Amino acid sequence: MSSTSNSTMKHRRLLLALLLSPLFAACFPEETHIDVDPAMLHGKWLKVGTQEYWRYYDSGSGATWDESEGKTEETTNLTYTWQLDRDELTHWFRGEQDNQMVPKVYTIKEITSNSMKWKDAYGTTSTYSKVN
Amino acid sequence: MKKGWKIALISLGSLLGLVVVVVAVAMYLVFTPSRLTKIVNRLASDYIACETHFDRVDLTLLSTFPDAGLKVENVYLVNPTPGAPSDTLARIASLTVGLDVKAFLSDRSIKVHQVLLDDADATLFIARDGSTNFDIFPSSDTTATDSTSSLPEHIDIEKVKVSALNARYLDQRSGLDATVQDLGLTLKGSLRNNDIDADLTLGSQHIALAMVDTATGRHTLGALIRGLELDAKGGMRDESLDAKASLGTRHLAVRMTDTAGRTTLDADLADLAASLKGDGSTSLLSGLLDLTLGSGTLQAAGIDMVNATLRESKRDLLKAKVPFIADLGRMQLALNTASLQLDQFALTADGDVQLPSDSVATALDLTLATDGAWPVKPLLAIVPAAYTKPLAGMDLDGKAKLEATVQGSLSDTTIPLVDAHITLADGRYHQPSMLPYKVSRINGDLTAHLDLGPQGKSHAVINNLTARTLDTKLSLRGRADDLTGDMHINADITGALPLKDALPMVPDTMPLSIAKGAADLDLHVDFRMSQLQKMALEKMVASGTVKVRDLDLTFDTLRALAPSLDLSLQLPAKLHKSKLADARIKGSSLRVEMPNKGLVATVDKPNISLGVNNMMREQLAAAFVVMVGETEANLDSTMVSLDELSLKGTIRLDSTQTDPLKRFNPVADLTTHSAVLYMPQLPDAVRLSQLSAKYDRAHTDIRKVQVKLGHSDFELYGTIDNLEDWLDNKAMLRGDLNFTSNYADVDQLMDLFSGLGSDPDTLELQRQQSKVPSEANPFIVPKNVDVTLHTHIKRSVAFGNDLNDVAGSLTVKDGVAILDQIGFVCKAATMQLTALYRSPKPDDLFAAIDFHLLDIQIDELLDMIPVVDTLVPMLAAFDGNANFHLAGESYLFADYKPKMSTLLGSAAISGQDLVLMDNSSIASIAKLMRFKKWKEKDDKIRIDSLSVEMTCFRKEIEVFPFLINIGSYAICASGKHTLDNTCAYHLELLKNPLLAKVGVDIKGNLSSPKISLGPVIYGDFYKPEKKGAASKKALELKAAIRQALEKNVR
Repeated sequence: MSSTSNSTMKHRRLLLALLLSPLFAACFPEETHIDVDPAMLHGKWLKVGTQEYWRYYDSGSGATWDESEGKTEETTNLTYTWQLDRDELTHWFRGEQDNQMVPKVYTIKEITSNSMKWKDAYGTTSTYSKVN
Repeated sequence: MKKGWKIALISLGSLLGLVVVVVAVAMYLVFTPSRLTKIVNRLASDYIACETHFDRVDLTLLSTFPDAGLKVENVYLVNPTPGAPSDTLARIASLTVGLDVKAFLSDRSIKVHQVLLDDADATLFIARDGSTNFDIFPSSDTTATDSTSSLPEHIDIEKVKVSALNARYLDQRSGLDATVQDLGLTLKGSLRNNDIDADLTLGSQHIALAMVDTATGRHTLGALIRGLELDAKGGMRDESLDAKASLGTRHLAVRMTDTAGRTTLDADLADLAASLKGDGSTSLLSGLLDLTLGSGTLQAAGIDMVNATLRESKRDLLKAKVPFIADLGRMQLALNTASLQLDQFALTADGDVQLPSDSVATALDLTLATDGAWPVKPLLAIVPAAYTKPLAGMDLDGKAKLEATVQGSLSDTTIPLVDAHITLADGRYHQPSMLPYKVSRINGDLTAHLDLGPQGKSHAVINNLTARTLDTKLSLRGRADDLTGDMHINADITGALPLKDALPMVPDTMPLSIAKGAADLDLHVDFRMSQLQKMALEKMVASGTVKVRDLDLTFDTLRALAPSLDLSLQLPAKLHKSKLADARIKGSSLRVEMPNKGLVATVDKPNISLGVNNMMREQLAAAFVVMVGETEANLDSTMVSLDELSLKGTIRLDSTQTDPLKRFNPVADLTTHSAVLYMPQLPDAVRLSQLSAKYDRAHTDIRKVQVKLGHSDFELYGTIDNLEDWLDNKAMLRGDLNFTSNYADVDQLMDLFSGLGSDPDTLELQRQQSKVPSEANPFIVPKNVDVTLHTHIKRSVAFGNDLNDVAGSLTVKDGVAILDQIGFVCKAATMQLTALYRSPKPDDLFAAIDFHLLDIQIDELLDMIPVVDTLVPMLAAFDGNANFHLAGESYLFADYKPKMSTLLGSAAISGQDLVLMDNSSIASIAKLMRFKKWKEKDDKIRIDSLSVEMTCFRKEIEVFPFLINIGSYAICASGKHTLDNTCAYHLELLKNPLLAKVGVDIKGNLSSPKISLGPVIYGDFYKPEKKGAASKKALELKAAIRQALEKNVR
């Protein structure tokens, strides 16, 4: 009896949600955006708590590597070109065989001369510190 | 000269006549010496046209009794003549003439019985203009005298005695200058009709003769005789001769020069003694010449005919005892066992000799024979050095016996022919420059034909010649032509020898050693001596067989052993045209070892044809054709076994190299039909059912190789380049091969070839440094090679998957393996794979793939490539056929696990008419989204189309928004999950009967996600006119991903 009651309750809630979904959708808060100066990206960044590095050159190229698995900027296969549109940072990885295109898009939420935080489309944030 | 002597004799006769007249006058009118002297001196001016002086003229009876004699003393004839060496023509101390008194008294005839001349000097001179100092008698007309003079019919000389006569005759017209000193002579004889009796004794201490070329003033002839003694006695009656003579001289020297002043003859003989006697008619004179020459020297045409050995010999230099029968009219001699002995070497001669005359040249028809066996070494020792130059450095000895015939004329242009039969016994020969052996026990039987004329050719036939050297026995038969020129030898040689005896003949440059073995020779040779001396083997001819037993030899680093081999030789080469000689080797078996390389090969029924170059001058270069039966070869732990092998090619030895390929530089054409190769690196044997290849240093042409290796069988053809340089680490091994196979176990093949070309020590060190687990054994791509395999494999297994109809190229290039657009069929799907794999370190591998599966069943895809399920977990919910494109790359650990921080990939899946597999998650979502009637009547959930793009970056898989149409519903899905099973997906209901827009988030652990309502993001995702920025961006990314993936699909 109890389970039937609970199920009925869920159905009612879902139906309500579906009916109100446009309203809910409209009520999800809009993302706020910042304008990031590309120059602030230039340099080498270390993901906090890891040995994962990202390098941004002002030419629009860059590379990332993880020293925990023995890679360096010179030996990494993960090189990319990057584009910054306000706070949307897009990385294009082509791979060694130049046969693929792997985009990685992040939204920069905070950036200073020493630190940077970005978030991907699914809400995962990562924090980086500038290293030289 | 004759004319001069005639003038002198006539003058002397006239003088004697004058004396006779004076004596007669003295006898009858004057009687006293003073009166006689005055009368003679007064009358002399009437008869002698020069200044004369007779110191004393006297009649004598006692000293000439019974003849009456007239003796003059101190007579001087002085006739100064320009150019003459002396004014005095003659000085006579004493001259006595005995006259037959009885004849004078009976018929008034004057007969001179005795002439005694003692102590006289004379100088006879003929000037260049023909004037003389002895033409002193007015009535003397030499021309008239010459034409009318003749011997009287009767000459009866009781006594002519000359003592202490010194005379000189100088003829400037002919250049003759003759001197005789202290001449003594006694002569007694008579001439009555044609009967002659004579008894002559003559002696002189010094006789000299010189001839000068009047044009050049050079001496052309000089002769000197000292101590001459001649004793001749004999008579001739009725043309029957009975005479004997002996001649001796202490010293005889003769020297002749040509017009250029070169000495043509220089003889200096001592103690020459000769006797000659004969009796019989002049046409049948039986005689004996006995001649002895004690010592001397003789140089003719610059050749010292009497060499030091002869000069130092204690024997007489020359002895001859020649019995003969002579026909003096015809100038012919018949010799009967004449003996000629030079030093110790005696020769007998029988036959006829034609002595020269004005119309007939010397001719010989003689049979010669040695008086037994001559010792060869002493014989050679007395041969003039000029004739023994070819024997320089030769030690030759033995006992030689000669029988010869000499026939023909002997003149300036002709030399008699000689046919000789020579036997040689117990000989020995050693001439290191010609033959590096001491040859002994030489026994031979030879015949020779010598034609020593200017155009003559001489030859010898070797009926049999046997010899021994070391432990070798040799027998030779044949012929030698052109003996005096460039000797041409054509001979058959048979023999038996231990092979080590042949080593001295092997050039030092040839690395050959012989432990044991023996051979029987049967050879034919045809060559010239000049070719042998120059080792011009390319011009020589040789052929024959050598049967070898118990062979054990080492050539360079190759050792060969055989119980028996038959070796056929052919020089010059006929089979291998470009080579010097052919050799064909056949045998029952042959074992070849290369100890330093661990090579051992046992060959059954070897049949080897070799063409070799001139190894005497160059390093070995050979062409070969090898056909062998069952063969087994071991190289270290590698073994090859084959049933038959055909190998054709060349080798060229480079002794400076140690590597076998570089040392022998083989070029070979190899064919075998059944071979098995056992290698320690391979658990299974490599079975070659057919191998046909051509190899040289730079290029290997593999015509066909059929291989069974492990589970795999394959056939190869193509080319391999730079094999030798690759082995020497000087160049990359390059290959372009076609690889066709009915079945290939790729995993096994990879294990077999893993690490080829890499240094095992370096690999092991890298494993230790990287702490690679022992069980991890990654494939190490061969380094320093650039080989492309164009594959066509009907069936294969790779990484546990069955692959069919695999076609494409596999390239291994210096540590990188590349599969280039390999196409194959797998479980009803058409696939195309491009992959790259490299292995710089065992713990830092790299792999990249470009993989396309067209029209593949999704469950088969997941079964074949499980990682796809990891990348796209929701794919397991679909059923049907799809196109799948995947690109990815990552560094790998030794166990092939990816280094996640380097993982980068992208994939695209598209399909039509798929079925969504109902499961709890789907049911939950459908329930959450209140799906009604979304299943078909057969209870299946059908999806019209699906197009998914996703990427993998490190541990994160991102699925870009894609649309799923299920009946009247449309759902957009996107999200990400990580390889550690956390997920964040978002679904939106874009179309439904209620037109409601619902977003659902799926988050948390992938196996039990939390599903909840979420925001609406892609509401207008597939409505271009209403598309927002996020949708546009997402579509752009999807398009970029898919385009990049699909561009490599063939």
